Formats: sequence, structure tokens, C-alpha cells
Amino acid sequence: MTIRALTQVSTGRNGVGAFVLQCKKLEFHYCDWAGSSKGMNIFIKTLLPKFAAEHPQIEFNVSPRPAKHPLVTGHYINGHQKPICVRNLEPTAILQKVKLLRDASGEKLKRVHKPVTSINPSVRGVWSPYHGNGMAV
Amino acid sequence: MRNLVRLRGSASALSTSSTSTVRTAATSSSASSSHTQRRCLSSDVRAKKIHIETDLVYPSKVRVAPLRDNITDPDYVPADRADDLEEVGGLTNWWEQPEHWGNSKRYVGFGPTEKVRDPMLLTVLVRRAVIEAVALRKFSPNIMRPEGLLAVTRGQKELLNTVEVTPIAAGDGSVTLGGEKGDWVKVWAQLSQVKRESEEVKKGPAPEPELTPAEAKVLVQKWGSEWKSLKLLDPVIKFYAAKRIQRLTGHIIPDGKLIGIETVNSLIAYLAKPPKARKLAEEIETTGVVANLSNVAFSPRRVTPLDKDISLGRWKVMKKELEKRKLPVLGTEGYQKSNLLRWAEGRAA
Repeated sequence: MTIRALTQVSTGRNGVGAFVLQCKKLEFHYCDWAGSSKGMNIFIKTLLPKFAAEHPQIEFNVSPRPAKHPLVTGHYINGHQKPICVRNLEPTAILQKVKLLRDASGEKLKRVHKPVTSINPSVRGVWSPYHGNGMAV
Repeated sequence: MRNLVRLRGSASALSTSSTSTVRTAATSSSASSSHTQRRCLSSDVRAKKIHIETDLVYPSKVRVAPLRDNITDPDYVPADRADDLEEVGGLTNWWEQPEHWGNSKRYVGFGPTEKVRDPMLLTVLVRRAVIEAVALRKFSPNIMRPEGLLAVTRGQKELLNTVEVTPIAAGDGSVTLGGEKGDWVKVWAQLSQVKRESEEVKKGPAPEPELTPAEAKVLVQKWGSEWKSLKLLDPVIKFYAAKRIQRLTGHIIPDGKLIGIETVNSLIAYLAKPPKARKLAEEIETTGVVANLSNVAFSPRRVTPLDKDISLGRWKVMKKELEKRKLPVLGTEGYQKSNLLRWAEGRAA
């Protein structure tokens, strides 16, 4: 009997069955002295505790980085990192950046050419209301 | 035994006592006068000794080691090199050491060095300051420089005597003392003692309050909260109270804040407010906003690459390998980057 390799019967689809957040760690760096960290310091005091409590699956590390601009860095399960400088930003604007890092996949940004991205592309293409026999309403 | 001492500097010109002696020549007018006049003056020039009484600490008299021929110790071995000899003495940084300056040269602030932070103690001291400010406002037109009376604190007995006077509200709600003449006289008698006290008492540092926070709490509870709602409408009373508070507690109230303080309660609240944290880490630790979050790690100092190696557990391996190769564990110890790359790129000299 010949040995047959295991054939792949399915491809992992994150969110089908279980969803694993791609962002595993967020690092926050601030400066006590610099004015560009003013919004970041307020964010750490006010908005970060609530955000961290809502996301127990993410590790949060907060540490000073003296005489430097404030920075938020996202670490992802594919090993990539995504740093964003948040100098002179308001706390609410920093929260938007943190949400962006949370929702990012960690992959490099790619230009999307096709209207549908799928691992199981349809042979019929995208349905169009302007083609075919029409639909009786 | 070896001669292991060598003296630094030249201290032979310095005297030993705390009284310095300065030799001065004649007046400068002789230098600009004519030759004849100069000759006449030269016979009259006498070196004058001026003794200056001072409490500065001068270097001690220079002690000279005995000569080699005069040493009778048979174990004595004269040093043939100066490298290993211990250096003693010298005048380097002599005046940078605070113990060499007398008490008269030291700075003494108007208030105590440590600010009073306990809210109960502050409440008692504010009550004393307000009562004395009201009394001083009434009697100040009769004396010169009335604010000078606020520079003396005295002891706990006077403190308790003053605070047992109950301030009341005047017709407009502002603070005043009781209508009985005894209260005014009692407070003013203690304030005006300053004329009979010595200058040292006036200028000395403010003593620490002998009242404990527990005792202060008993007093504050006994007084109730009605007196705290009294208004501070008169700016002169507010100024006297602020100056007295600076002397008693060490808190300096800026003019901008003083204008906004309208009641005794707001004055106490301003003073009892804890100081603002200087660093974000202190504030986070004080408030404890992230203490209950297990997924948040807060570092009060910069996280270095070394910290990351230690947290991963690979630092001990790196340290062991570096020590085995006799390389510096931390820093470079003068080692530079290899020149091979620079040679390859044609950048090496």
C-alpha cells in the first residue's frame, strides 16, 4: 500500500467557528516632559483602562520613552509590528489609532484590485443587475 | 610601616582660628600722589591688622610630617615612589562643604522646610491663622508693620489658646470674633508678645507643630463645620491669613488663587489638596487605575533591550558566554566596531 500524503480538505477561515484577534500586544510609550505627549498621558490615565478591560485577549505594555514622541506599537501573531507615532494628538484621536491597530491583521498593506477577495472564488463572477434576463419585481 | 601620607595643596598661609587676620597697606590715595608725598607716606605706612569676627570654619593648621632622620620607629621604610601614597588634606572644595559655613550664613526660610500635609492639622492651623488675621486687622492701624507680628509661631500652648476662640459671622457673613471683649484681648495679647521677644526667636525657623493628627481630629470634630462656612470678604484679612499660613504650614498661596478663595472651607480645601504628581507613573500608582487589570503592565522607567532579554530569560545565557570570552558584559570598554566593513566600503582611513 502506497503512502499517501494528507490532502488539505479545508482552509482556515478566521471567524468561521472561532475568531482569533490578530493583534496580540499593544505597547504604549510616553514622555513625562515633552508637550507632544500631553494627549498620550491623558489617554493613559483616562481611556486606556476602559479599553484594556474590554480587550482581555490583548497584552498592554506601558512604559516611558524620555525625550521622544509618544508611540503606540501593535504586535501581531504573524510576527509583524505596526508602530504609529501619536505626537500632539488628542486622547480621542489616539483611541482611533489604537482601534486601527487592534483591527489590523499585521499584514503589509496591499492594493486591492478586485471587487471580491476570496479563497474560494466564484466561477460565475459577481452578480450584476444589468446583465441577464432581468428580474420580474 | 611606610610613609604613606603626602599633603595636597599649600595650606601654610591659612590661620587656624576662626578669627581671620588681614594685612592691608595704606590707602590707595598714596599710589596716585607725587613721589615726594609717596616718600613721606612710606615712612608712615604701618601694616594694620583687621580682626574679623566670623563663624566660618577655616582649615586646620598644617601638620608637617617628621623628617626622615628624626623618626625613631625601626619599622619605618621611606617611600621611594609617590604613586602608592595616600593623599590627605588639601583645600579642594573646602567651601563647597556646608559644614564649613557658619549658622549665620545658612538660609532660613520664612516657613517650615516641610509642608504640613495632614488635613486635620491644616484645619487647626488655618483656624489659628484666620483668628489671628481678624484680630490683627482690627488692631493693625495702631502699629507699624503689623505683618511682622505674623513671623512668630511660639508653642502649642499659644496655639490651643488661640484656636479655642470661636470665630463667628458678621452681618454680611464675613468672619469676625465674638462680641465679647475677652476674645479680642486674648488673641491680641498673644500676638503682641512679639515686641518683648528677642530677634532670634523672630528670625528662627518655624517649629514643627507639636499637635498630632489624632489630637487635631478631636479638636476639629469638637468645633463642627459651621465655622468653615464663614466668608473671607476682606482682602486684608485674607492677606494676613495667607502670610500666617505660610509661616505655620509652609504653603505659599499665590495671589491669583487667593482672590478665588472666598470662604474658610475653600481655603482649607485648597491647602489640603494633595500635590500634583510630577510623573505619570506616580499618578498611575496613586490612583491605581490599572492595578486590577491583569493584562496591563506598567513600567515606571524606560524598558531597555536588556530588560527584554531578562524577561525572555536569555540574558543569563548571554552573560555567561560573554564572561567566558572575557568580553565586557555591559558597555564596550573601549572596544570599537570592526574596521573590516569600513575597509570594504573604502571609508577607513
